[in-house]
Amino acid sequence: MKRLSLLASIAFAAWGQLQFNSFDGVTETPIPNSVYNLPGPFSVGVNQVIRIRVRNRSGQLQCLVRNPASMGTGFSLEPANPSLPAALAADAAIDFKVNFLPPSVARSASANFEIQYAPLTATATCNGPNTPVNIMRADLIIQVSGITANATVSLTPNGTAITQIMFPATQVGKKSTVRIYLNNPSSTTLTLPNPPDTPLETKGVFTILTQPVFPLTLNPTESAAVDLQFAPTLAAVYLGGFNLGSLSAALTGNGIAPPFATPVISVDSALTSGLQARLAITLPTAAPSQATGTLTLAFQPTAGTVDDAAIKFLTPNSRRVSFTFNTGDTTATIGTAKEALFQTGTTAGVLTFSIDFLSAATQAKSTIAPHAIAIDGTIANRPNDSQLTIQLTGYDNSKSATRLGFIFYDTAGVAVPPGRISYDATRDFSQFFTAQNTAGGMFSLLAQFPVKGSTANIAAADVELTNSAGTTTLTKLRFSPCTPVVITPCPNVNGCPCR
Amino acid sequence: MKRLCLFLALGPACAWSIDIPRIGFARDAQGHVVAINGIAGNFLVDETPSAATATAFSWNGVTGVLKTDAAVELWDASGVVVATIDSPTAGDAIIGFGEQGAWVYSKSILYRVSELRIQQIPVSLSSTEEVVLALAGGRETIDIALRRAGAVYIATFDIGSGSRVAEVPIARRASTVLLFLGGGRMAGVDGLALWVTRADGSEWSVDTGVALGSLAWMGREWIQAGSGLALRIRAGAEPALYGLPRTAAAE
Repeated sequence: MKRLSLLASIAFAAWGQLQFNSFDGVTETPIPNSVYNLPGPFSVGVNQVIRIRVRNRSGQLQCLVRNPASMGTGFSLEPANPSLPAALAADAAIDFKVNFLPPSVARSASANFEIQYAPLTATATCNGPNTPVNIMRADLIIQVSGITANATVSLTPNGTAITQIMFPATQVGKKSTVRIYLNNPSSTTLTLPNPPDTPLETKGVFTILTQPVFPLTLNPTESAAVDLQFAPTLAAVYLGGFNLGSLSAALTGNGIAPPFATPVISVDSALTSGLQARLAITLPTAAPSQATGTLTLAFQPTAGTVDDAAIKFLTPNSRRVSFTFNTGDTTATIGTAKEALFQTGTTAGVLTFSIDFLSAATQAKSTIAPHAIAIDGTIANRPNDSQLTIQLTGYDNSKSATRLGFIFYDTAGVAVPPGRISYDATRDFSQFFTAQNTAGGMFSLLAQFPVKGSTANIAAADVELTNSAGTTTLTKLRFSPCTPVVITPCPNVNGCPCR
Repeated sequence: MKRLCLFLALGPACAWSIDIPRIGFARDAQGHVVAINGIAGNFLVDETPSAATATAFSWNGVTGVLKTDAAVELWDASGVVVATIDSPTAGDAIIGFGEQGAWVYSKSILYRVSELRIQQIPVSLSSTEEVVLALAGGRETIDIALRRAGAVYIATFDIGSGSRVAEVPIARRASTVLLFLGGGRMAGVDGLALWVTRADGSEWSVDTGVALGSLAWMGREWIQAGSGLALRIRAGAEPALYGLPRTAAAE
């Protein structure tokens, strides 16, 4: 009986000397009767941190001997708790955190939070050779109720729980967002605890963009959105994780290289026929990686004419060339050069340059306007004493040549009567251009003039060529004697080439 | 009055012909010779190459020589083969032209091709010390541009005796390729530069960006430089350089 009485005394003394309080980080509230009732709901698998403040009300220095031992299923002492033994001065307090991770759905669960302590006398130390031996106990019963099913993570409200979240492929330097939902699929209300205790976590390049306010109460079938963000810094596959207590999902994001800027075709918008022009393909910003493309040249001749086979790139002799941007390039390499040479041909029309590059298309156009007949070379010969020849090489890019005119001059520079001699060449040229089909508007005209008498009296000639765009005049083409060559027999005297 | 009558007959009586202009012929990197039609800056390649694979080729609009390992073809002004002569030597050659036909230097032997005949012309050249770069024949002498001991000279030889009668160095002493243009003018390759002497002795040059390995006549006023460039030489005008269309096979 005496022993029973002693135990009762010890228990009373314990209550009277160490006081258990609840503590929310700000406010400390005494727990009556050493029973800490925590109404739920608690979610299975979602950790709840229970904070307990132990205050020394004994009026003397106490030694807290050791940490509470095992408390009950689902309960554990948080590792970061203060390490005992430790002295606790009169009226001082010490805080403990108890984790409660409900293992299964249950109406309630409980734990025993036991503190062993002993008063410290002047000769005793709390942690040393004279550790007090008159140890007493103070017990707190932690009682929780309403353990319900866990929340789930899904990509849609009320959706199926997921464990893997894939972000869309995201360019380096850009961001992409995925919205996930915290769902309560159960028929009871769930309360998700405060983030400081069970924080939403992500790693690395994954961040939480928006989240609900915690503690979060979710009614049955209710959900709350969380926006996760992926911001890759390298072109690589990133792996991460999202955690909310025991809720977790793997995060996967694919960082991709920034796309190329749209290439620009640098070419004159207005060109003339008979040219070898240059074209470059440039990027406004340096190429982030190596990539190749194709440059295509198309030609739309003016109405009434046909395609021109000479309109091509030179290397290769084609209307299609490939090009490459190497990493860091702002100008493409076309073949082995930084530009492409192309021929504008001898037909008026529109040149269209098209780029097919990384699924993007770019075009540039150059217009070649019809113009008067262009002459590239002339030979005025006096092959013998009875003939003059004039050879004109050039092009008519509208293929509309009509009239030819000639004025011959004697050695004194006086026009030989009857002066201007005109010839309608419309049919001749038309037939020629038709026969030559895709050779463009180029031609070599050889006019032979029979002369009665000495050709030596004829010194020069003016030539006029007219087409729909105007008249071209060549003045004072001087006749030269023709010197037959000796390497091969001349096929005929008149056709003998001159040097 | 007489002349008036002459020219009044011009229209219907005059002979006319309109044709595709011919630039000349070019030898691609594989030795195939193709016809190049067109005008300056507007070349149309006749994709049908010569039957023979040329080790050397030159055609100046009047005369042409296509040399293979086995034969020397003579071409006329139309680009037609008028004679095929057994080649005294295999391999490449230097081809030049002159008043008495064409000249071919191959394997240290100089030939004159004239009147459909090929004839060896002995000249006193050092086959070990002197590298022939270009030929230009005259009536009685032939000029041979040659490289010796790091410099380039124009040596004049008497055709009859084969003896060297004169020799002068040229300013472009580092040139590795030369071509006589007539009238005392020359074209050459010095490093990446293509240079041409003007009639007044001054020089035109351009940096081609590539090391050109050959210069050869490809037309009356056209020179092929390497396999991809065409140089136009006209009296009274500055030289002008163009790109030649290059087939995939020529790359």
